[in-house]
Amino acid sequence: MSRSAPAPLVTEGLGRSYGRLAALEELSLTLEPGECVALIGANGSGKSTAVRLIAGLLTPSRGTVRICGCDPYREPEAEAARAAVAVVPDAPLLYEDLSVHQHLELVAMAHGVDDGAIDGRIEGLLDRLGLGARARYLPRELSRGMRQKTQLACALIRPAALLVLDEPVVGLDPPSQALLRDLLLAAKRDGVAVLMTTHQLRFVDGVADRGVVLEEGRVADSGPWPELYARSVAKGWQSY
Amino acid sequence: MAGGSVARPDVLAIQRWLAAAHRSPSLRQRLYTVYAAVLVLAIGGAVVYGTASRALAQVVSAAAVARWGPSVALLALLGAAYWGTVQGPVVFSTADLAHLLGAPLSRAALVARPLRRAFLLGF
Repeated sequence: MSRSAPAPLVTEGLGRSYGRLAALEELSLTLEPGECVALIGANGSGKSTAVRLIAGLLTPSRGTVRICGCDPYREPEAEAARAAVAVVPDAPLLYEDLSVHQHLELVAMAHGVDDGAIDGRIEGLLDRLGLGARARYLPRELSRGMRQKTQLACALIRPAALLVLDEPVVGLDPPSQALLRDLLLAAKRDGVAVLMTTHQLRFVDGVADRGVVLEEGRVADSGPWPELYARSVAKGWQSY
Repeated sequence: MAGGSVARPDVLAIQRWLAAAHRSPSLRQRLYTVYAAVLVLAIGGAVVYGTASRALAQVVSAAAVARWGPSVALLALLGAAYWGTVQGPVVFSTADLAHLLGAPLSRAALVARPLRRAFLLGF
């Protein structure tokens, strides 16, 4: 009898408050391998708070998070959770004095990915993202979109069961957005679960399997993406 | 997502690699820092020393030091301990948050080296 592996992401009643303000209330979500869920909502609806809670960057006020069955807030199992989740934050977090290539080297080392072919894989990924010619550039020498792509490359160079992206298309031009879509679809085909937040419903269309709409920290709507997309557009959500 | 073999990361090797990879300031930047420090100390020090020594001479006497000295020293120690708790010698940057604290590395091991250096060298 075989025991199935734990889901890449399970949250139950997840919430976070700042004093009296409830930034997020009762988010219960399960992502299976190869599934993509889009968290959509207006500014201040709790999307980024949800991402930070799931990424292990913000302690929940209530509820639980499990990444591949591990609690990201309880050492030492948190190490296994951090190994399983790759996060792309809404603003690139890069060392100002490390080059693009060095960032990827560091991530590979920090995740124990060192099989002798890592340099080749880094160069291949950078070429695919259009950063090959800028591999030795420092972050300050890059545009906002290129810094965002560097952060994305950091998430893709290492193995992960769950990919979490916070507003990944901000700062990306249309060709880069199309490339990001291809990369996300490829990750899904490889069995990676994807959770992303965005305002841009059209970008998500064709990538997300399900969606969750947040309003003032509460789940206002959820369901399979095509139906949710139609409902959201009908309610007047801008579809870019 | 990348495949490939995954080994247990070596925190010490990563910290050494990162220390070597961080670009140290150029000679010009170092000289400028020294120049600015000397200038500020020379001007500010002269003004502060003159004013403070005159003011202190009116207030501080051997008897006052004997009476208030231990209390003031204790308060200073308490202040230093409080500062050490709130803003200790181990500081992580926002990039560290993404790339080191977000990696499957032992956080105790990540903190150990800078903490040891701070205790031994004071920075």
